[in-house]
Amino acid sequence: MLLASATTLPLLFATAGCRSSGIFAGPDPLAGRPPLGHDVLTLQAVIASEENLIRLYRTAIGGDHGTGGHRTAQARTLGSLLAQHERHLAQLRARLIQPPGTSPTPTARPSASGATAGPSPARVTVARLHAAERASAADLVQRLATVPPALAQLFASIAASDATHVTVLGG
Amino acid sequence: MTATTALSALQAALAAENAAIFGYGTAGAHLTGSSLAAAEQDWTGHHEARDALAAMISRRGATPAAAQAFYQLPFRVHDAASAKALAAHLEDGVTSAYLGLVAVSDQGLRRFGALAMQAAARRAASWRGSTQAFPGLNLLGPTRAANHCELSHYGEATPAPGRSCWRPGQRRRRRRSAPPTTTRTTTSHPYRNRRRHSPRAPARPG
Repeated sequence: MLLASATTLPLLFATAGCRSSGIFAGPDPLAGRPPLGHDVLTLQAVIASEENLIRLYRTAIGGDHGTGGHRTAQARTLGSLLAQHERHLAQLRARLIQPPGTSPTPTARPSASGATAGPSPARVTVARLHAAERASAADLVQRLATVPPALAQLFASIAASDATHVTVLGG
Repeated sequence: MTATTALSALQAALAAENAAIFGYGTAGAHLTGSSLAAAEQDWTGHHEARDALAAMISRRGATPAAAQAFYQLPFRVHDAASAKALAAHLEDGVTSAYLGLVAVSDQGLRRFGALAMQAAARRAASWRGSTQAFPGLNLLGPTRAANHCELSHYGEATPAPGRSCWRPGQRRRRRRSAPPTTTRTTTSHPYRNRRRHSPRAPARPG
């Protein structure tokens, strides 16, 4: 009986015209990487925005050509805000889980934070940072609607931090 | 998240606003000049927020939770510096409470909560003199909890081990020497009755 089954099953598949790859209807689910979910794309875009904000701060601190005490005080203030953005980035990255080999660069719509990706500008003013912080806070609030609660809370907290940075930077 | 939890998040935010109104009464009694003006402005803002939250709760068919007569303060307030520290602490509590609204499914409430967090975080930064990386969120673990009474995402206080915590809705323990606690602070200006609002709560143990 056992012998009969072992010999007749392949025959049955052959006569039915079935092959292993043709058992499933539709595309082979193992053929390629699944598309990234909305949450991942959103998180990627926010991470990219945060990275660009950090780049702006670093450029501003590096290009601070003020004089004497003013320069020191401003660099210290910007350095403190930069450190908080680096902590934002670490928390955001800690929440990003994506398949190995996937590019960490975002494929979602670019952030409206004003901290646009691309080559670093030669000079970044405090006014530019102010505008970028304000836009970042607004962008994060805009994204709250479509992400899970825990991610929404992180975005809201970072947006609140950005809002305090706006005040520090002059309004 | 269900409508019930949205309502509880609204009630938690309301409780935090009521606590802030009470706390600013104590803080304001130790402030002068521009600091006092700022405290009065913030006190007014918390009143307006309280009224807005109460209206939102009523529209949902529920009764807004009433303010308590007294709240146990997290530390003794005896001068301008401790008054400013209290104001920052109050704003931290309000920020945390609004974080609960950000977790509900209602998109309008999420946005409302996030914007309220920004306002409270700005006030906290102003009183503290420095900004925080994660206003309202406790991402530092037990180190920070050892020094602060944190409000969870849903407005429930989580005291550090072995410590008591001032929190919205908590009644102050009545001591034998304490006067009768019959006055509601939320209906009068906080700085007119300085004696009544002056801190009577002992410093946190430990």
